[in-house]
Amino acid sequence: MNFTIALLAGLVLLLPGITALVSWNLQGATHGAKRPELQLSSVTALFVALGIAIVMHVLGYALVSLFWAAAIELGTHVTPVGEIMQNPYEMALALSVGTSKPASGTIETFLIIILFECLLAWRLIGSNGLDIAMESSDVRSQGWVFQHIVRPLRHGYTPIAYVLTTASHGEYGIGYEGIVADIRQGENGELKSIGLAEPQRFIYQIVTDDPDKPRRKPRLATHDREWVGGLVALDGSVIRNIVIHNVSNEIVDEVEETPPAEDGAFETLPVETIAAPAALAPPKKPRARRKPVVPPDQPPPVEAPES
Amino acid sequence: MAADILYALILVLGVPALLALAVGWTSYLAEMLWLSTVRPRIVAATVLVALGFLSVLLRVVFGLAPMAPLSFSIALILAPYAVVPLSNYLSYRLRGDDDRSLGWKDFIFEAKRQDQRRSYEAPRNEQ
Repeated sequence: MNFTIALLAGLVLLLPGITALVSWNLQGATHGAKRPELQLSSVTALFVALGIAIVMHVLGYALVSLFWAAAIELGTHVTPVGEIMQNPYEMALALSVGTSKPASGTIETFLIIILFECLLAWRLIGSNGLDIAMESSDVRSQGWVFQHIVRPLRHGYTPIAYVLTTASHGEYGIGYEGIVADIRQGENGELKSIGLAEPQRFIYQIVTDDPDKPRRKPRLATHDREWVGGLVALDGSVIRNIVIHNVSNEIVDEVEETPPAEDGAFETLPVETIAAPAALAPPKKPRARRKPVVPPDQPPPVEAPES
Repeated sequence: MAADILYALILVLGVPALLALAVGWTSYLAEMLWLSTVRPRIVAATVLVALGFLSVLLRVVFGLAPMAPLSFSIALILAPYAVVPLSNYLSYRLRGDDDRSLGWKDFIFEAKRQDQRRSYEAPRNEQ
């Protein structure tokens, strides 16, 4: 077997493992949080691909051998259409060591079996079962993004990010608050960019309550909140820091159902400081006043007539 | 000419049908394998029951020897279609009333996901 054919045969044999990696990478592509794909050239990926390929071939060989035996048995019950071909796996082995030549149709059958194994590998990796089995472990090495964005998203929470940018003017700076729609990390896990959906823009300022006492602890104040809408994408280089709060989807739905103010503008949440948890709480609905409790043996109070 | 048309018909109808069958079967097999990691005893029991039942059925209907390759192959092909819903249904019946609201069709995965959600909702220092 010459080098080119050997390389091609090696790739065909590795194909189920490569398919599993592609399925894994494509799953990652659909997530909101992304890291660079698992490269086939990395030792881990190559090991995984090889392992999956071997498992698939063992399973494939067992099934093919069983079905070939079943086909021979079927020939005793019904009239055979033709002669049964050689087991494709045995043909491939014989071909690789040069002891025999392939019979007609055997190579095609072998390729169909490989495609079937690829399909099974794809299904195994793409199944909900893998997602559930791997749920608690950070297999994509996303770090804090996994714990504070990916996992909450899977469990009915909406991650809301408060991003302070480096764009500043004097003691003021620009910040954004919005739902994390997309977040990208580099190879070492560093933040590359973040995309916030339906964001609000605000101006932040570090203020001291009493200018006469400059050593007193300053606080962060925000001003001029306004809805930007759409999506804002912020590059990692302009991000100063991020605070992420996860809000239950039920609360988010409740807030979204809140009608806008009469002037058409959306009601902004009363946020004073960036990290204040109260900022995430939905605006409280005005409660109906309780009626005064009247003992049963007393007559109800009579309202005073309007003057 | 007729043979060519027959060949074309087989290609046009047979290949997509086989492909759909392969996609469906691999999907069920993959689900069965992952279910076995979540509920190993129930899935193992349903696999044995399904293989036994199908072997007996093939013996009665077609007269195939129960553990012969042909009977075993057919049972193996049909088993995932029976095991996945049966395992889900059995787990659904065996679990308490709290989980009945999930529905039985995807019960095992849904129940597992619900357990994970409960653990996620626990205080941070307990996770």
